[in-house]
Amino acid sequence: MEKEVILDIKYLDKSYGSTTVLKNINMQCYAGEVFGFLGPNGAGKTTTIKIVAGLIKKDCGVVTVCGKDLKQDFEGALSCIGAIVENPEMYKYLSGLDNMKQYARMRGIDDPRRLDEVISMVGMSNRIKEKVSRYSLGMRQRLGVAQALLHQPKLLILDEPMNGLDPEGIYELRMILKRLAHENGICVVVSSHIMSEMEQLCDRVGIISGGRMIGTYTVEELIDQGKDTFCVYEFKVSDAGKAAQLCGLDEKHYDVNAENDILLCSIKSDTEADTLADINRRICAGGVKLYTVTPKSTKSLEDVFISLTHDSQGGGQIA
Amino acid sequence: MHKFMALMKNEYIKILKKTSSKVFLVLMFLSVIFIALQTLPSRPYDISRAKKNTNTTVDRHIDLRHKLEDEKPPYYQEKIDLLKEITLYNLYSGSWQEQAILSIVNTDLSSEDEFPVETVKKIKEYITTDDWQGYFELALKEQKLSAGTKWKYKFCIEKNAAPDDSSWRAELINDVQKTLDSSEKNNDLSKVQKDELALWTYQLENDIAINLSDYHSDNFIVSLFRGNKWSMWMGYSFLIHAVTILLIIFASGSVANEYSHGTIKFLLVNPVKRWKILLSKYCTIISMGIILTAIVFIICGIIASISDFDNSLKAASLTVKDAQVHRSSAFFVVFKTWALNSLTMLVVVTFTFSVSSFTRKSAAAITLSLVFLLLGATLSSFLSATDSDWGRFLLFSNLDIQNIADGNPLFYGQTVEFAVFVIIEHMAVFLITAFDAFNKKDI
Repeated sequence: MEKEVILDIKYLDKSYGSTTVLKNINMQCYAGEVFGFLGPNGAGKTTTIKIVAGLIKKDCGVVTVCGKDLKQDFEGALSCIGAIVENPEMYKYLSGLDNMKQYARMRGIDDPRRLDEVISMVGMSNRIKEKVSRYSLGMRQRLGVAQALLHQPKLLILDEPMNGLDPEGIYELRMILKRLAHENGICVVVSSHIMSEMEQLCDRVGIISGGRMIGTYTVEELIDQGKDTFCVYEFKVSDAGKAAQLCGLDEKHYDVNAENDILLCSIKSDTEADTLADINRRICAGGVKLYTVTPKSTKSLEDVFISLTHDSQGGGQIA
Repeated sequence: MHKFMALMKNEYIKILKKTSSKVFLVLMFLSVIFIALQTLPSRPYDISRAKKNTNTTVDRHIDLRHKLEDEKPPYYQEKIDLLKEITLYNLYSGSWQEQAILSIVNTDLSSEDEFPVETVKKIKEYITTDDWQGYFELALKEQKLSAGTKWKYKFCIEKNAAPDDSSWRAELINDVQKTLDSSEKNNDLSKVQKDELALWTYQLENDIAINLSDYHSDNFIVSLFRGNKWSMWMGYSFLIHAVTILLIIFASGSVANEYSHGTIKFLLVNPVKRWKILLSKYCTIISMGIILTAIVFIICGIIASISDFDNSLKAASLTVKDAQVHRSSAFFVVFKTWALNSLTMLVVVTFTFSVSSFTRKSAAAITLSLVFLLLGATLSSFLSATDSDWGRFLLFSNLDIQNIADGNPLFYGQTVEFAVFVIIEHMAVFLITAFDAFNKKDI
């Protein structure tokens, strides 16, 4: 099924003076998906988002939102976008409701029911008349989401929306975003560097590093990429040296600590479960006491992310 | 248009819902009312420029008596008797009664003439019954009068205006009389005198006690002490500065605070072009300035009219050109003065706005604007005093359009057109800077 392209970024370049921040960024986001925008600090996530939200002028490239060119039809393109960029800053001396009314007026929304609707959607109905200065970060974050949803945008851009939210808030927001994308057909773009969160939320991710787009993948694709990688397990045993002999792995795939009670094994991720069961059996059969087995790292987006972004930039320096 | 009004409404809410703004607003109005009441005159101002001479001493006409005794003209004894009567009636110098008696004494009678006993008798009767109309009619009929005196007597009878009272009329009547007399003597009047005569006659005929255009080039404080509601209302126009300072505070924050609070990001992600947002901010500040100035204008008008001691006095602005009097209504002139004084506010606030948009620092905008407001005029006067002619190109030198139009510019040969050009040019630079900076800045 051919999906409608909501956000189309082509050949996007941006530099501040002699520092190149973005170089030839290309990406497409479709209606009905949650798109995760991943990258380490300073990779250019926020810059890209700011360009799409009209806060920064691009050097060159084409940004199209719902078929409207950002430069030619600025107001048309932006009216399809709802966004939170960086921290949700509101007018602190106004109440939450007054803040929302400000946005409603700017976007030409006269219906007060729509305000109530988005406010209750983010669970702020009880505190909406309080001044924003009394809100916690999480509450402001919720208000920010409400603000971004107010005009029913086709494209929702959230820059690190989970910051400051409590676990329940994160769960609720995740559900809201997924519902918006999958049921209402909105394109949700979420930037973050919290990988586990992205893994649970996103349908597709785009990875950016050092101002370059490394690629866009579905989450499944990424995890598949992780098949050649190894997971490390920690075996707490009575005699690590003996256990190492027993486990039947290559010498370079295990390590024994100085106290001789911990065995670290690198296990190929695609056959992880079987290998693990095999090692357990062997150690027990060999008469070594096996106390605990703990995964030191799991195969996940995180590994792929680190391996992908680490390649492109030397030594993890901020680009 | 509807959307633009919505943007302006947003800006109004942002400014007016702030606690500090409310405090500043209240403070501004309180200080305006306080200063307006503080500068109220405690007594009605005496409009006549010279105090009436109340000299009633016996020897006022001693010289005249000696002269009569020395020269011994016909009927000198009768004349001396009459002079003594002046003392008898205890008449003030310059009063119509004294003039009436002196008119007999000063008439050169030859020995063939008969001493006008009847007239003298009548004059004495008029003096005792204080009937100036009677005397004036008599004098016009029977006596030979100078042109000025004739005009005065006719005028007083026509207008039923008592001579020698302490009202503003007496003064002007005497001025006109003197000018007419001198024109009779010299057969001609200078251009200035003609203009003055036209002005005074106009004032007397139309009953205009206060000519507001007298106060234009004065210090505004002076007109406060004239005790008339119009002149005071005009003088209160210096209170516009209170509004200006308040607006500087509002304007300095209107762009800069969005940056310092971080709300600029949420302002600019809205589907509204940046220049529209900035324009709505500018229009908000300017319209607020107009509204506040209008309120202060009305407050001052109320205070001025409550405190007016003599409501019967009529005021208007009269200007004379080629002996033709041009009249503008008092309200028009007061309004014009306020409007021209607001011009400085407009320019300063535009400047504040521009600095606020350009530097994104409200402190910088406030500081620079106050320096502009407080030192600008001083700088211009200084340059003018030190003959630095380039000072005429400065904005500050061109803000006092009223004085330039009245022909009292700081620098020789400044014209209104030039001033308007300099102001527009500066405003354009300020606004272009503001909009350019706001449009281009990456957030």
